[in-house]
Amino acid sequence: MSAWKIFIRGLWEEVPVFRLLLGLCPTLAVTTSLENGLGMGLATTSVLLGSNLVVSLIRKFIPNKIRIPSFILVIASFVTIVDLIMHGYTPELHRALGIFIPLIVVNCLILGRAEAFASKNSLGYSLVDALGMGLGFTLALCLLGGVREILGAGSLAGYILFPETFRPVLILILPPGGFIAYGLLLAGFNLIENRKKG
Amino acid sequence: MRELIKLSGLLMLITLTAATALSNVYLLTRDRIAAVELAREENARKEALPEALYFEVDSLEGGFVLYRGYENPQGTGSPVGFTVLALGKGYSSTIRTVVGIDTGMTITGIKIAFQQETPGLGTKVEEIKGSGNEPWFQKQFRGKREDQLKVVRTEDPEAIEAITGATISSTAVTKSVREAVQKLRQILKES
Amino acid sequence: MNLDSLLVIAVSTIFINNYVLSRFLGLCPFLGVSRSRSSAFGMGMAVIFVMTMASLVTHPIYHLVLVRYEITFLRTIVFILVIATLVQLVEMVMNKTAPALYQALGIFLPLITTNCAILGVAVLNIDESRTFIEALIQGFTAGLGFTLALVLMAGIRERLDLADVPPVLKGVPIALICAGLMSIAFLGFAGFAI
Repeated sequence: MSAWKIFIRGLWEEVPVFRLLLGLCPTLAVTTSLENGLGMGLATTSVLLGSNLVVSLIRKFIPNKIRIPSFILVIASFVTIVDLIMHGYTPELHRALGIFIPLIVVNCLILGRAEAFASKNSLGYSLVDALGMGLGFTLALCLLGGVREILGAGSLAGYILFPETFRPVLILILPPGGFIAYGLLLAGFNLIENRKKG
Repeated sequence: MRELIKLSGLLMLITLTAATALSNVYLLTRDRIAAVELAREENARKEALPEALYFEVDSLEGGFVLYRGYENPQGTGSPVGFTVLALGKGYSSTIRTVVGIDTGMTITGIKIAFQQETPGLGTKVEEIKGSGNEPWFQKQFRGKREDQLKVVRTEDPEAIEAITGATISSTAVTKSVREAVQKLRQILKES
Repeated sequence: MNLDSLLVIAVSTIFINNYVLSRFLGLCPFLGVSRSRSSAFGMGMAVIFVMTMASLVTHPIYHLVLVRYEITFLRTIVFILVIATLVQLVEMVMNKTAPALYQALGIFLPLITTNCAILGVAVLNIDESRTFIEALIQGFTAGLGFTLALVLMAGIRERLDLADVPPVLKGVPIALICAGLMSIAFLGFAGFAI
């Protein structure tokens, strides 16, 4: 498989959140706005790049029995690094994402890629995979965050889109709205898949 | 047995590497993070008590953070007011509010320093509407006295208007501010 | 700290700020293991156990070790390792004592490690400055709330499987919409003034 194909796969065919049902907790929790979705997506991509890099590098030295704990150690380290850097250099975003930054460590997407790809492929391909999946995840979060913010708060990236008379569908930025918006978008993706096939 | 030692040894090696790397990143970012937090606190104090140019810590005992604010940048003369940290049990977080109180026990302003309330509802305590850059909910505290710190549902110059759909968050902040004023009054009486 | 505040924690964790339906924690198993009530209940029990033990162990480790030696930045790594170990323990015990349940849960049992609700409750115990007893109660009741949401969802999904669902909504989408409706119902608890 070429590097390009690997990259593209993470953006559509196996896009996280909408095709690969992984990493759902942060998805619903932080997509109350486009900005938060983007921030979380980029933070996760950074961790994914780091972990795929290291896992791929040490893949030949890790015995099968301890591979999961080793992966967890690597991922947790990168999550902590990202957490510290964000706290120091992007404090507002750090505060907005809150508890979900340390929770990146249990984002099944990252462990999933380490297990399914990085532990079996070379460094170059692993990085490409991380980039593709990470970007796909980021785009998915932006889509969900954007939809919820536009309809639920009447703004996009903080800019008010509608005049004062627009009453936003408040429930969309509350927890129920997260579930419903995600469910409907997922159904939309299924619809596109079905149209393609039939 | 031998395998156990080998596996444990490898895991320990990875853990040590991880810990070393993390410690280094921590040391690199530690000062920066401390500076960010300090700046945040100072900004909050300045916004709560705009007249003061210099703050001196009075007491930090039992979690009660009290600063005296002075008009004079050198910190001489008598204080123009105080800032107190108020803690209120909100809907899904403990809301931390810095309250500015002048010597006449009137509120000069509040600044919500920390909250993790429901997005779109409780977070409206920090919402900025229209022009200006001050959250409307916090602005209404300015100039109020202790007996006016009660939550009502309509616009009332003598009380605090709650946020629609976020009564718990609104009440938490108001109650904590009121308690802060009471505590300050008690402390001043004792000294 | 008295019985009153412990009750407040319990009620708010199970109903008002339910870990699944309000805080969005524990979604992967929530959608993955909620197809039958019996496996949902079994998973719930396992999670209650791990959450309580996790709270029991991580709280003292944080306060007596991490804080004392000023290495709180190692929190994420230490907590996740503790949880991974606990899950491994649960797996071994369950294999011996309830092998049927062990088979039924399958891959979702080791996946409890990546259940964000468990790491979530450990972190929340610290961030919300809970005392040890409060942390224990919060861990236990968070598990209860999770089990409640899971079993409710399983009950609904068992019925859904027999209903006529449009193809695009089949499976996860319709389950999500149901979760949304459940979440709205739980929002009603927000009116409780305690």
